[in-house]
Amino acid sequence: MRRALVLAVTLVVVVGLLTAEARWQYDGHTVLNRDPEIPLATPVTIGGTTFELLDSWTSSKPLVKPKDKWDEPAPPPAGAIYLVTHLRITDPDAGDRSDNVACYEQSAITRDGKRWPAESYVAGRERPTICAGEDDYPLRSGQPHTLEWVFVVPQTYAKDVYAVQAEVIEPGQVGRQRTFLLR
Amino acid sequence: MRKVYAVIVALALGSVGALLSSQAFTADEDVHVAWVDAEPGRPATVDGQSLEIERVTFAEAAVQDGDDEAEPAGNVFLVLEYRAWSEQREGYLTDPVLRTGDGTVYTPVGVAGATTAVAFPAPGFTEYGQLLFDVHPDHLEGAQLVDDPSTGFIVYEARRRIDLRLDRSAVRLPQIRPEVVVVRSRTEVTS
Repeated sequence: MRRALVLAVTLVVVVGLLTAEARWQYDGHTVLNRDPEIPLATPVTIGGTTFELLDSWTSSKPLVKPKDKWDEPAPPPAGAIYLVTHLRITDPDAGDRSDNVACYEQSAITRDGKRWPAESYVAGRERPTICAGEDDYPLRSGQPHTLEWVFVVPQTYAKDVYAVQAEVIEPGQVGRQRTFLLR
Repeated sequence: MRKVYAVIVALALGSVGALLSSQAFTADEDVHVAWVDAEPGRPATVDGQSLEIERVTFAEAAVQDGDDEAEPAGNVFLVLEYRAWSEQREGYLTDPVLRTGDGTVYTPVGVAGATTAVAFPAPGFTEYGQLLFDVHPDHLEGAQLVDDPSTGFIVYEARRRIDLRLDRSAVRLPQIRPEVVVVRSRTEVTS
């Protein structure tokens, strides 16, 4: 009887912890936050794939390339700025995989928990703004693959943004939240 | 030994039941829901995401901004001008409904390009918009805007409830405007 009680209590505790964890993750936390923050321009290899945040810069002007013909220049909303970052992914075995590396849920974050999602489209930008592995931007074995993430952040908070966080799906594993420092 | 297994099974089922029931609460009217009450001019906030009704008006027809042709209401349009914002992170879209004192439930109408859902933008931004309900004046007494922030994945045991402070006299002429100009929802930097 005692053994049964122990088992039952354990079961209840596990179920409770799983529920709390799901909620906690939704709030922007993760048990994986304990992973070290990755400095700017520092390659880190995760599951055989190398990630590197190449640069970060801000702009209050439209992000349009000189040769663009089709897109109207689109400045950020009044009172906000564009925060532009580039992430390079290199996967030596991409061609051999059926499950590609992918990233989603990119956010610009502050230390006090504020977060801004990456824009899915910015006028005039041609770089892939979603992660590798999509049909349009397939990873190729050993070839660097550069992604551009653009965030629209109110000027008031721009100085407080210290990193971008991305959910990185490693081949054959669950998503892991990685924090790339901006400076 | 059978008793032991029975206890384990009962507790396991209880745990699963408790988990499932937390979702059932949102589907079940008024059961285990913590209501966040507000009124026009005062925000209703759930998990750092706020919705405030700024203005309540009535109109016989709705016309899209820049358009000439007005769409008449079946009865009368109740127009709620709102603003919505978040403290920490962008929220999910919500689908508010209007519930009157006699239990009638209205959903927003998408006439003249009006929105039917409320977005809670990222910190520092505020969304401004209009919700239109085609309502029967006799059913308006005690009307409340009810907004459930839960989604298929995220369950809150709290809902917003904004008492519009309406009674039957609220829609008597001449308080009804001939038409309301529907403007697209817009998001502005506010801090």
